[in-house]
Amino acid sequence: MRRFALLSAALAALGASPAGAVGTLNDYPTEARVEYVFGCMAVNGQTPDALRRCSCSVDVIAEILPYDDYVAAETVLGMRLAAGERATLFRGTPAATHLAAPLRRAQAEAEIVCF
Amino acid sequence: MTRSAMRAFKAAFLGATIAGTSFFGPALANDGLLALQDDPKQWTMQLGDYAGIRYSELEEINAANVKNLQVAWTFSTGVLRGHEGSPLVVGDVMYVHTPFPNIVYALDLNDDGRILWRYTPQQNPEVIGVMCCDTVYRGLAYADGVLFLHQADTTLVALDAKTGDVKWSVVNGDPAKGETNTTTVLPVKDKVIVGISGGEYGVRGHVTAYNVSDGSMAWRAYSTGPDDEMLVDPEKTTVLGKPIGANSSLESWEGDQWKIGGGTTWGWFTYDPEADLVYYGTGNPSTWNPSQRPGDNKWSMTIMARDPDTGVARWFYQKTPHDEWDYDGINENLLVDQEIDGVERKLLVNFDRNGFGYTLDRLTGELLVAEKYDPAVNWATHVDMDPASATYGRPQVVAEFSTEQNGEDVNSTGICPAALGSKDQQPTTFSPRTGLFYVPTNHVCMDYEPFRVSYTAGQPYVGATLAMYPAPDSHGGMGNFIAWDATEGKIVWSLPERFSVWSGAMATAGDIVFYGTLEGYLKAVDAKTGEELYRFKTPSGIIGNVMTYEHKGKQYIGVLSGVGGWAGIGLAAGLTNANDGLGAVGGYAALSDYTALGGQLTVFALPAAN
Repeated sequence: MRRFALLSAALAALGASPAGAVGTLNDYPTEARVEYVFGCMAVNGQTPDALRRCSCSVDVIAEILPYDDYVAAETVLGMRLAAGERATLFRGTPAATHLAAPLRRAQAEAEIVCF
Repeated sequence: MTRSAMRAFKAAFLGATIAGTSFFGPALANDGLLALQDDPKQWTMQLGDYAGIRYSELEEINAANVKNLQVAWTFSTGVLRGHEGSPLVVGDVMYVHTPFPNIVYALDLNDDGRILWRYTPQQNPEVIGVMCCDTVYRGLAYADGVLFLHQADTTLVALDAKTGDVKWSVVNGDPAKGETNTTTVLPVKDKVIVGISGGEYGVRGHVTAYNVSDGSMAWRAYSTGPDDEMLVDPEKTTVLGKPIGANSSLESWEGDQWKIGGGTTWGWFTYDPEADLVYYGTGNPSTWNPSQRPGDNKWSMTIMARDPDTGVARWFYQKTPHDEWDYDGINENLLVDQEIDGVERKLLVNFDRNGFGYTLDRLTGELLVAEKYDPAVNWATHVDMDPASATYGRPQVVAEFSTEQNGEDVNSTGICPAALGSKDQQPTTFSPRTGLFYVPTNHVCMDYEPFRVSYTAGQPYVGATLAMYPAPDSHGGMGNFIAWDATEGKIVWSLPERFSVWSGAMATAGDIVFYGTLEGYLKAVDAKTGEELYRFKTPSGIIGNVMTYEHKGKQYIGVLSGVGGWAGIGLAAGLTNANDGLGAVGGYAALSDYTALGGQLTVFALPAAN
């Protein structure tokens, strides 16, 4: 139960209750949340426990990061997996790393809170 | 304006070429294609029509109601990697292509997109290894009941559009030498015009015409080499109004470098039926190290106008003589008729990778306008426009950004644009209603360090190391979407984009312009002001080209998404517990299951009540 205590504390620190976090304080489409949880459960298991932790994780990210920044980071990370000359624009370049970094920080935060 | 009036206006605007064709004598294979182009309900060519303007007269979806656009249906291609080009719609059937392995689907628009047939070519996967720039394919072509598929391995296949049966196939190049295909073909008259990719493998570029009836070769015109192999007439083929002269290419290379000198033809083809000329551009000279190939390296980086029957060149214009930056000259040439200085001219407009927007007389190759379409462009100050000057038509290179003058193994920094160009192959659109061109662009600069390489057939032959980054001292983004006046050579408006815009645009009679973004947004903007009217996030980045069609009285908008990589952000979550669960290995296995969904076609329409 220590994990859930941590979660409550973190959300309290952010000035929001979990319910409020989902309903009003972020701008993520449900589709984006579901896709995140889908990937997260692919790693952590197709279980009710993983579903809860992964949902928590995307909620925390959505608290920290505006959706527009999430999309920018997602674009950079996706393009890094693409093939060809033009994908080099996204690999190891400071501008691209700068766009991806806020998501990495938010994920680290979510991992502490939810896992 | 009524639709029929609009159509008349468009026909007049395009030089009445469509009306004029029927007087040309015997029926030709392209008559059918010309008639289809005049029907805005169908989308029968990758660039919309022979003029390459990607403009539709459909107007049900317009500036006032586009905000209500919704997803009507989707189709998963089942293939990973970058999805370029667009579907075609002929009659009640939509034809969708994929990147390698270049699957073709025929979808029944009368039956919710049910698959009528599919064609899955068998190709040697080794071809993937010699494709420089992803396994992209810019789409199918259609004429008179035949669908033309040009595979990555350069096999050109003619498919029966009704059944998917192979009518004939022919091999255009040799992947063992690095010869591949990424581009679409152009059916013209009784021939189909075909290009080749592989400039990064020292391929000697050429364009080839095959007879539609049986796939036999009609002619082949190399970009470099002896006059008879380039199909130039030393007296009649012109460059900036003067005869090209004998041995123009051979004299512009040192030794036999032209044999591995690039000038590939992986871009777009357009056609003026009235002038009876086919237009295209040639790519970079090989290698990327300019010190290894002294001279102008003709005719790489060149706009070419050729007779489709014989292949003989009418005129050439070399945009970047002796390229030092990989500014491939293959971008599309849009054919429009507009007034310049009060005189109606038959124009060819080209947004080159080198950052200059060129306006030429498409009949003579006369250079009328050459201006930067991104203010960041710095490698040249301007193009010499004085016909009396010894450097007429040539870009005036800035020494600081000359990778040739700085030399081998020296890193030239801060060059704008980057090798990707101010614009890559993603096609521009033109609206006759505004007289403006809408251009998806890169806003990216580079550091470029050339080094010496030796040639081995089938091995990369590049010879430069690059670093790329957003244009400094600007808005910080990697792209712009601009509106351009090609008669003046001026930017009318410019929308900053966070990422390069690698999706082809489309303008419509609804006074809107559509394009896609790397984030996956389909956007619609006001054609006059650039104001954003609509955006929708598709499941992946968009590098495909927007198209439209009408079916059973309703207008649809279609676009492929899929950049080749799914970020899988969620996969990185909770990895500290990897040992407890499936772990990273299991996670990545699951990733491949998930991304097997691959690219997606998304089709939009207005809600029924609208």
